[in-house]
Amino acid sequence: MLAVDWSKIALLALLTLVATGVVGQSNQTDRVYRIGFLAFGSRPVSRVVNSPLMAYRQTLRERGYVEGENLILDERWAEARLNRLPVLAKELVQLKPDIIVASGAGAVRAVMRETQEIPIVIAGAADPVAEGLVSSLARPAANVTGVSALTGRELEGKRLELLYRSIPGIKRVGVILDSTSRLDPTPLEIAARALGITLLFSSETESHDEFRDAFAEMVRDHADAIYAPETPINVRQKKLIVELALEHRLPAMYASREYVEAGGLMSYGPNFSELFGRAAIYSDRILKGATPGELPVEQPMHLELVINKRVAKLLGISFPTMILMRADEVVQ
Amino acid sequence: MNDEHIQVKHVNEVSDISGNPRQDNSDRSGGRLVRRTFIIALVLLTSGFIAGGAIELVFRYQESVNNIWALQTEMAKGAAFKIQSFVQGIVKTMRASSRTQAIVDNGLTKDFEVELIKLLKAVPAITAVSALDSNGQELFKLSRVQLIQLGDLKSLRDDEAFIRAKGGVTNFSHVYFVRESEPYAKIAVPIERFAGEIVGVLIAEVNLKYIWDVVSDIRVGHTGYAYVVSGDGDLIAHPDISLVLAMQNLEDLAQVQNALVGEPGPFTASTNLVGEKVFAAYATISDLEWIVLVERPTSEAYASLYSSLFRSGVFLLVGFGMAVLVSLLIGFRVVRPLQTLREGVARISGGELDHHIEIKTGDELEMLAGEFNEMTAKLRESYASVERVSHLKRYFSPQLAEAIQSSKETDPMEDHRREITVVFCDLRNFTEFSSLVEPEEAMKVLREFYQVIGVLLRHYEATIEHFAGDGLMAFFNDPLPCPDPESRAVQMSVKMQAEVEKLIKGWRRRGIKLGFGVGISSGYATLGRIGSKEQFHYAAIGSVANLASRLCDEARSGQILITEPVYAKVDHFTEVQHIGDVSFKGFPKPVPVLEVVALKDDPSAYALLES
Repeated sequence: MLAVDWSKIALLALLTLVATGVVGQSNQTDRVYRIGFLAFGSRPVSRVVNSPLMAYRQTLRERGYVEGENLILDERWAEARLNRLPVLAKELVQLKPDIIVASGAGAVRAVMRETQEIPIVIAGAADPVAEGLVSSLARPAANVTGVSALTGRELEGKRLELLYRSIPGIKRVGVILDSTSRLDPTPLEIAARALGITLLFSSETESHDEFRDAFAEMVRDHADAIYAPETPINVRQKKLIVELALEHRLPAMYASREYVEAGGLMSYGPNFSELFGRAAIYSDRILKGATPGELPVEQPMHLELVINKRVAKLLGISFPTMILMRADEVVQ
Repeated sequence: MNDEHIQVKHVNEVSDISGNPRQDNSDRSGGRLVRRTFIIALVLLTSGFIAGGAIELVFRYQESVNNIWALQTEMAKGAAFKIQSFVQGIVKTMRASSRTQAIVDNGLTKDFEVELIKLLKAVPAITAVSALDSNGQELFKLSRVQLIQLGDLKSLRDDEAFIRAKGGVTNFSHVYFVRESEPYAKIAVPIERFAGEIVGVLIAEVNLKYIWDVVSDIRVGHTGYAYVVSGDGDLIAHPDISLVLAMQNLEDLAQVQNALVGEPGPFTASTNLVGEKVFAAYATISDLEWIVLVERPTSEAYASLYSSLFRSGVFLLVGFGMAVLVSLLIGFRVVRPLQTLREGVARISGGELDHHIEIKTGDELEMLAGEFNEMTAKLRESYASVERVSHLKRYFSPQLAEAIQSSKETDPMEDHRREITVVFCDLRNFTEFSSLVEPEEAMKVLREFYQVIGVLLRHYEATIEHFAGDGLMAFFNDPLPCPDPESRAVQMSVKMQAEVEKLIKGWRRRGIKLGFGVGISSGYATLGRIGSKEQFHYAAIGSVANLASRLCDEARSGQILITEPVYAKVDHFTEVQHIGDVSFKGFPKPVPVLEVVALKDDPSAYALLES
């Protein structure tokens, strides 16, 4: 009788072990995660190799999140229209995702306005502290964390310097900056003064005509080159700006490689694919239970100098050796 | 009376056994035995298991800890080597970039700027680099982030990094944080034109976040990881970069403290910076005074230990269960026969002498039961003999009864002829007396009479043939022979006369007039049992009995009449008076009759009396 009891107990224990094992396993696979994605910019036309969102998906896949299996990724693109952001943010929040990934300070802010509970992962936003997205980089202390896009405003001056070193002798640089941008021109002005450059701030730009007028005006004012900072309108009018710069044979410095890929001369800034990959790691950590407020905001690892030799040729420019040496990528 | 005594005792024993208190007591003692046997067996078996298991565990634990320590130390050394290689790679690249043809040809000139660009390209971890001349003046500076103008160039002649690098030593600064979240260190190397000829110093600002790449490549088991702390305990690199960016100082962690003072391991499990229990090992990067710690959650590090612990635990449990089982088995194996034995004994002592205790264990217990059964058989036998003796005692004196009982070879009560001496005695006038008084009175007198007579009959070991109301017939020399039947008969009769005389005197005072007469004769008689096997009567048949009866009838109160053959055997101590020849009914010739007058003062005559 006693022996029977023992075997029963052993059997029961075994069954329990197996059962918990099965349940534990099924728990892991059954859970479907929902991630909302909001970007200020435009949906990539084709699935280009270097699309940052591809990098985000790829990194998630490496960590065991597969779309259609245990991941739903809701994409929303504002197509560079600021007024679209609140609507899209609301839409995403209503889907009750586990986290929302937001690219661009405006997008982050829009989502922040909609929810204080859903964790928000920044996938590239210039100066999160200055933009009021987080209280500090080391301890964001809210439901927001992620990867900042730029290493502070100093980068504006650095871009001006690189432009200056690429085309020696330039004295007047047109800056395409509209009043909707939150960009503080002070670091830029300090850099210009140090480099002996006069900045020509463009008139208000939003429509095609305004851009044309602004470019015409800058040419009239003898601009030797232009600099287009990353502003919401500039992002939207990326193609137009590149075209106008070419049209007016103005050497131009941009904030990201997309402009160069679209026909811009040169850019200096973080690699967004790399940055989105990092955002995926943040997403994974938060999905696994980390508190966003305790995850410090990371800064980009790489700042890449991308130059377009074809455009340089078109403009009759030859980059100095120093710049060619520093370039991380040369678009032919 | 003996019979009665035996019966009473008998009843007592039965009540003792069947009485509840005793039953309870015996039950309890049985239970205690089971328990004791069980506990002893259990303790013996399990202590073996536990002791074996514990010793095994202690050794395995020690071994495991040493193995884990050795493994993780190797890991830490590997990590330290990688980080050292990484840093040394930067240092080497920096040193290499200072060895140029231009410097050999012209010393430190503006051409050196190209080398700085190359350095920035080659080493992503360097965010800024500057070249200083031998006076500590920055000649050029390149930064990934900052705009550098001529006015930004400073003199660092008093900077420790410059002084040390100028002295030919590669200098590593303390770790500092940019924007309070990114760890940096400055590495300074001398710029040498030729070996020993230092023309300047190269200082690079190195983002240590890049060490993360190295650290995160290190995997220990499944969840083990490596991290780096500076000599001050600042966290420099960790696979979880957020921990580095949070600018933590880990001096308070026990494993970091141990590592900083170079404590030899193995350490006991400690808590990591997110509160998990970890097993930590370390290695020092000597050039940098940094420490690489390799931690593995104890749950994983001790996984093999735990699984072996679990296995041992299961074995222990199974062993314990088996021990319990075996102990119970032993307990029952010992106790069940014991119980059978106890019950058997109880039944035997309860009177069931033909009860057989059945134990088939093939051990001492079976032997014990066998001995019990043997004892019971003997008991049964002796009980039967006691019963027989008590039966015999009705006819024979106790001694005689025992003697008859013990004479095994031949049955002394078998039919036979033998010369015996018969004593016949009775109370005179009893029939008349008894018809006049109440039966109780008559019986009381008889009891007093037989009380006296009975004692003497037993004393002289006479065989009682029969009682006949006021008289009786007894004889000597049968069923067991005695050497002096006539002497005994005469002596007993004399004694009887004396004792009964006292009674008669007493009765006379109560107005009862009774007398007592005795007749003794000796000769051959036929002896044997008369009656059924169960109820029989030992009888002596023959003229000798008749003669004694006639003599008794003939005797007056107070007289003892004997025949000549009797006298012939007792004349040496008996004084007689010749009565003369008397004719008796049934006897063809007159028989000479003698009356015993007195016993001579011969000590031998009283021998029996006194014994």
